[in-house]
Amino acid sequence: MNAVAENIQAALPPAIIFTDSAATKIADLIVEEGNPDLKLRVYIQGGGCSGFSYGFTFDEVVNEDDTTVIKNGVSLLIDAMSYQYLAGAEVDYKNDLEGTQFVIRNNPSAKSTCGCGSSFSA
Amino acid sequence: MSITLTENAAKQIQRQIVKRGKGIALRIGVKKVGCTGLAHTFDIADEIHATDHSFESHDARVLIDADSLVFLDGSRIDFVTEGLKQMFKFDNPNVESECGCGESFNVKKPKLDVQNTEVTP
Repeated sequence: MNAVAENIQAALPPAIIFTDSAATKIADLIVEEGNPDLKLRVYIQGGGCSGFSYGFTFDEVVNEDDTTVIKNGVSLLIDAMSYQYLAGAEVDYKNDLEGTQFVIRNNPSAKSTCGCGSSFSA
Repeated sequence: MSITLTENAAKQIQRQIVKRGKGIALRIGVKKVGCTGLAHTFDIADEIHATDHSFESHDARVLIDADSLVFLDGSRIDFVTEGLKQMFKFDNPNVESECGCGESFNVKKPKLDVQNTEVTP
């Protein structure tokens, strides 16, 4: 690899990993709702016991500052402010005995998490 | 001593037993965790232990050992959809405070002193 390519690589923020199970769940919900414009928006908000918490919602509107991650034909949206805190993290869907939910895993920005992992400090 | 299940909670237990391929009940426990002190644990049980209390509603069974039952007695357990999430929800008369996602909770004194009570080995 030449030096220029290496520099470009280093300058790019790490990608957000969008798992198959998260993409499949979004595809299922799109069918359920009968709305092909639905996208999963992941965001950071203040709150929770560690200072920040993750939020998940459905959105039809893509804003100017959004980063869109597409997998298997479905979209994940992250606004610019939230992206800073989510770069390199994994957006997954958990389905187990306790229930079902979208989750953030392996977030390099999170110094500590608490309880269910929906709250973290950066 | 009483624990009740809603029909939705019973269905979730039945679904999870089918998914696992075996099991007789949902075992619920309590462990120390998180910012308010306690959290629920969930497992599918294959057998009833000597210290277990067994509760049945809507053709589903819940097992809770005596130590955990102190924190949970009187609870009504539901399985709810909130936004994009589905989860067990406890209407627990012993709870004094909850935090964040609701995964961790604290119970009223003087029934128990959480700091000095060993809940799970």
